[in-house]
Amino acid sequence: MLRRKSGLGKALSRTTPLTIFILLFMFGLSIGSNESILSNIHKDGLKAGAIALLGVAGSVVATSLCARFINRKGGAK
Amino acid sequence: MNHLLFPLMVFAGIFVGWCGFAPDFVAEYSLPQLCLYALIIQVGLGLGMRPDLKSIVKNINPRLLLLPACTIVGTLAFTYIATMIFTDDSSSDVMAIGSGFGYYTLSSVLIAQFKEASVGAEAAASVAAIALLANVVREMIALLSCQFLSKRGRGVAAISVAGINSMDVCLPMIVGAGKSSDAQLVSAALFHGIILEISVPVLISIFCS
Repeated sequence: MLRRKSGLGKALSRTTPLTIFILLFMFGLSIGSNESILSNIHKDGLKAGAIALLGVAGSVVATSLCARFINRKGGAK
Repeated sequence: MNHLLFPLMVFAGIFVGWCGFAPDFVAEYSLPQLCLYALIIQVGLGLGMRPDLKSIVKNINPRLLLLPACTIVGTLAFTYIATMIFTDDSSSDVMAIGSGFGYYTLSSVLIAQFKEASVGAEAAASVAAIALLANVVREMIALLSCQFLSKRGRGVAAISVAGINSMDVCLPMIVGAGKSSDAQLVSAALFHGIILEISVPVLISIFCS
């Protein structure tokens, strides 16, 4: 029912990114005002990059193993 | 456009905080928490209001569940390797960081909130900062590789790499490659994103408890 009230949808498409902006800005504030985080950023950055790369690699490996199964099992398109 | 502005907001916040202008109410966590609730309500409303919700639901079959399952199992299995590399950190923290699936906004905030009670605000913010960086990097990798994978007939892998972003930021790149099975790929990508969106808070709360 809500789907037909496009006014709310329009409002949401504006307020959702705005909420994320405010949230992220406040998150940045808490990092920036914390010296112990800032002094570790080079070490943490390396860790973050490694975790991200491993996550992506894991996704590719898992879907490659299951791709035939995912694509075929349903039969008709 | 927006996905460039989001990391920019974080850097703006870091700069302002670094300059020493952080007001006290930010540290109290009540305002960030209210903001988070507001965001979750809006995300839920937005999902329910999608005009194509019916056709997405119609296309859903048990087979589609395999794709988000692959993303979750694959990501967590390889993140477990990271826990063996970074032995200084608690392995549950590293697993929580890995289970953001590129959802850097929600995962970092959730980790900060969940860990604050047990290890204090400072240690929690430090883990959350790594989570933010790791998931921003994952989104960047996804933005750069989705089209490449999809054009080579690896649309399923593209969806998985995109993680949570398969339903928004990366969707045009996954389905824009001009393959015949585009319609099915849209359903798969949206369903994948929705399931991961639900699994992020669940997995993070498990690893943070």
